Amino acid sequence: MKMVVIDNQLQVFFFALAEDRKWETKSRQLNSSSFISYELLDGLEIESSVHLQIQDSNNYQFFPESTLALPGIQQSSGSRSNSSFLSWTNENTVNYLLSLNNHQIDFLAGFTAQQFRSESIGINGSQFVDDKIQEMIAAGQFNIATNIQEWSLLSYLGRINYNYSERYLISASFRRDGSSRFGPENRWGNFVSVSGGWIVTEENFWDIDFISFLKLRGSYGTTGNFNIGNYTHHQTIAPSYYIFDNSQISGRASSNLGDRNLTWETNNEYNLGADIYFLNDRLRVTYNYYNRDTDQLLFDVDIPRASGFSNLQTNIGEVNFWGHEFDLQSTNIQTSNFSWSTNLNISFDRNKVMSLATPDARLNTGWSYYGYSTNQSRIGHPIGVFRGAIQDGVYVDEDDFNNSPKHSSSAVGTVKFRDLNGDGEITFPEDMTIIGNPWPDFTFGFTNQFYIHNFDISLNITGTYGNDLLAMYEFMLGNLDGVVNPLKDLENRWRSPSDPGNGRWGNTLAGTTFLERDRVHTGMLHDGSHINFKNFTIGYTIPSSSLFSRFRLYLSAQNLYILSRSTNGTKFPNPEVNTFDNESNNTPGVILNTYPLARTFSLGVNISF
Amino acid sequence: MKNIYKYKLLLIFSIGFIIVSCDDFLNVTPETELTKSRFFQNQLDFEQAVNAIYSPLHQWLEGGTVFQDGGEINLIGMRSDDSYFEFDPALRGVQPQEDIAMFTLEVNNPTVEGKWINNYTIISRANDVLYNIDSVDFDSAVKDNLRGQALFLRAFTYFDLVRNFGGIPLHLEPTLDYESSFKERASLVQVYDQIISDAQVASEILPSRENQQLGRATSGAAKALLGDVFITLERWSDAEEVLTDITEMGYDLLPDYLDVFKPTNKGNREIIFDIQFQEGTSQNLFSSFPYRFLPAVNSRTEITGITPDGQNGAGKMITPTPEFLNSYDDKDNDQRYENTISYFTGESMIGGIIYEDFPYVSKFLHDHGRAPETSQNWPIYRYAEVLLLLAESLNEQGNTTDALFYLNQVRNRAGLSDITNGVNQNDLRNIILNEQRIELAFENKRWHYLVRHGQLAVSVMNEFGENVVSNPQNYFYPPGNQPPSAAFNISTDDLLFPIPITEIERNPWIIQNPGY
Repeated sequence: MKMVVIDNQLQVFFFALAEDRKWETKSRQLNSSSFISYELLDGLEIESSVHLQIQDSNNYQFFPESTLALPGIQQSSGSRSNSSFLSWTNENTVNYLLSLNNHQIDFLAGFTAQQFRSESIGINGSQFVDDKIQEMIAAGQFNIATNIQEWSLLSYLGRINYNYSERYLISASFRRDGSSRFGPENRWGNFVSVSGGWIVTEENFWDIDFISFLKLRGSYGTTGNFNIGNYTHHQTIAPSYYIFDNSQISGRASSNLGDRNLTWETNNEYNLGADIYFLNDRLRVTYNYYNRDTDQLLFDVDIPRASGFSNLQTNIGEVNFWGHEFDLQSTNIQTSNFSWSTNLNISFDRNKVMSLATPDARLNTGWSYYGYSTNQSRIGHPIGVFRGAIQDGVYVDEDDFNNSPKHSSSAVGTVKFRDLNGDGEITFPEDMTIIGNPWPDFTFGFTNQFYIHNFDISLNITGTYGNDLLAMYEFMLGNLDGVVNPLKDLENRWRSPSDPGNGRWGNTLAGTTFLERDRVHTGMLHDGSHINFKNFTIGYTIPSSSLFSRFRLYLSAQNLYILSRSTNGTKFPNPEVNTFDNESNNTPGVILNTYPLARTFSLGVNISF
Repeated sequence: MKNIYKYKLLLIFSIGFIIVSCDDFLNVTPETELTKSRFFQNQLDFEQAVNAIYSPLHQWLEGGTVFQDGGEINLIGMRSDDSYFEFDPALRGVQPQEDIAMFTLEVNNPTVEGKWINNYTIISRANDVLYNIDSVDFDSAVKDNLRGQALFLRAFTYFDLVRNFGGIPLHLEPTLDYESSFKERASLVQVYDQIISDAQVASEILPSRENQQLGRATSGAAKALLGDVFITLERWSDAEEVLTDITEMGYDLLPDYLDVFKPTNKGNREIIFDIQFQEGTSQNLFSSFPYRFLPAVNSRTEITGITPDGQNGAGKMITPTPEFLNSYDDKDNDQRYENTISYFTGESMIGGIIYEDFPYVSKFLHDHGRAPETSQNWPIYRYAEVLLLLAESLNEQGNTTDALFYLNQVRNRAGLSDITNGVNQNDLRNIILNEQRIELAFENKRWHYLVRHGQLAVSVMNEFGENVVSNPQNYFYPPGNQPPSAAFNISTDDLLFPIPITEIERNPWIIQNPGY
């Protein structure tokens, strides 16, 4: 590797590294949409459209020997790959609009067909003699991989919209979808939805003046999800090799335990809501209650390795999601030179696992840390709750050590866990339990927008309350063993019985420190409630003139300030990790390699001519 | 104009309808992978399926299934009084490997997990073949050969599982869905009955060594496995019978001990079954384990002579102990001594250490092209072991005369004189055990031999542990370092490995072994 002397120290010359190592991607994409519509009769329209997307991309990489850590021992390597895909959708619909007195009915029927196909090929080259030809043809050894992916979808749909004098609204629809991702017996799913609304303020009897608009609405619907691999329901066979007669011979073996019964994940959801506007629409309140039941969850579930396989994509379990959402918008002041409006939204979301394969089943998700997963789903609890041991400080002195349950590696001054099964010993997983919940009690957003003469000012604040975060990075930054740049709070570690510290960190005696960082426990669990001053923008608009129709200058700040309940004097790099996505059941609420939120200032202009 | 539009519309609509009415539109099958519905249909398919049963043996031996999996080499090779590891205070990431030698294993140990995974991969592939092979017709001799290989490998891996873990889930058919992947641990009797039944059928239908492709299981291999199993179960007369059969199958001891292991001598008459490796293959089917036995030298080229090369980070786990070096009665005449052990003087990669006449296992280190890619095979069963097991089974039945006949063959090859008649059963038992230790040194036999003598493993390893703890510098700890206090407190619970915690997390029906 090229080295350079900086401040009397020999350092890697990173600029040369970045220049000499090649990594180039090129892609070309074409999107095209066209449609034809024809009015057959009065009110009867036929439409057909085709959307096309074609993409072609190349990737080239080359790492010359001079950029590797051990030139002379490691050799250059590189790769070249090419992939292209074609995706098309054809929609055909018949639409009929019927107007009769105050009744308006809108019928829609049709079908759509959709297909995606991609083909790719890649070459990985290694054992280059030198760096003179940086192309795969000069490789001493290469591997080739090809991949073809294809899926298709066919849907039939029908919908009726009815409204009576803009006062009563009813809508009903039906869909039948067939996906290539399921086997022939489970391919089709039928989905219905029905919704209704009543604009109460249109009624003749309505005479409450300060409510200028009141709409009540409700809906019920089923939808389907087919978000799995293209060929997952197939059991597949892959090549495998061995030596016979001193030569490489190929063989074949099962590589995927496909589930023949794989079928649609279905969501049944009903919504109830109201839109209420007060004082001539100056204050608008929207409320929505939803309750969604996800059944036949499509999940990649871990199965016992004794089967010969590690996991199976299958339909498993049922989860219930529900919540209340509020949205308030108010135009507080509106004059010619000054206006101020506010928007507040707040939602209370909950979820609960209703069933899994068996009543005792545990679905392990999140990071698998030394054999134990950080998140777990159990019946009766939210998805992906944190699982770990409970920390009870450290063994402060000889007395404390002798009178408390211990792990086989414990000593005076090391981490103390709570004995949950009462057997007098600290063992795993018996002394682990559910220790936290990554899902917030509520999340909110609060925006204020001002217009003062030609200035516009807006401030947007977001936040959550009640969610826990698992600061997994503490196992690296709280490492008491070895050469590490640790958290400042390690000043408060146990040093002796007379100086036991704040109880979070044990002592640095070699060979005793691994337990407190190799097991997930409550010491790493923190309150994720926070308020983020997410966006603050000031703009100035110059009055229009003959040169331009609009000229606006603005200064804006993103993530201006974050208020959070930091413990140990540490601020989290990113308290927003995974808290807004109810369906991310991989690592909700785990901070490990999450990039810190950046405070960004930007200056810009909008000009229109 | 309107008419043109009308027709275009009708055209698109009809194309749409045609697509819709084709069921095929939604039948999408993988084009770069084979689906099981198109496999297991003819002789070639089954030949390929049987080839694939052998493939996991590479990872079974050398590891690499999960992060820090050291494979069979580390799991059994590090666990005996023949070897210990070099301690590097700066590199603590290898703690899970060192736990194996110090008997401080935790239930999440990656090497233990790797053994579980690799064995069951082989078993599920064998089950696939055995389940499907009878529904297709082809030449019965070929079919017997294929079936026999699947049965041998299944018996071999179940034997490896049961003697390392105790009773384990017994899968005898391929897993086809979620429910059937869950099984409880079977009893020892059930597992051993299945192993013996599989190995016996295999021994009857497999071809002999001359009629079988090099690298595949033979009837001799199946009988050797049976012998190993019977000895472990202390069924001495059954062992005697099957091991005696092997003596009439054309195997022999080579005059030169080292010749048995040389890659230039693959398929020699002393090897009964070994794991095949070859350098220079496009799928990287070379072996690296010879480097594991080398010390943590700063420059491997000083030992191997191969450039370019660097430090031996992979080594230092299996260093010959003083106990092992002292087990040779006659270092001058026993040709096995200089062919098994070599000495190195030079720089270590461990800070501050210079080796002076440092012992290391050199019997697997032979000429090869690039570092660390060798064509070295790993012996599973060879004729010398058969002779010693035969001697043991005869001695246990009180027949010291015949036992000596076989024992002396091995001794004579090594250059040692006969043990003459007149020695009693107990003394002969210890002589045979020592001969096994020297002859099969570092072939991952010592730990299993100690364990099947029951309490002997506990007492030998505890005594070894005391020596290590009281004299750590004699056991490759740099000055100022020693094993932790929890090391070496061995009981019979330590004779089995823990069931990997990831398996228990996935299958709550599995109960952990006592002591973990």
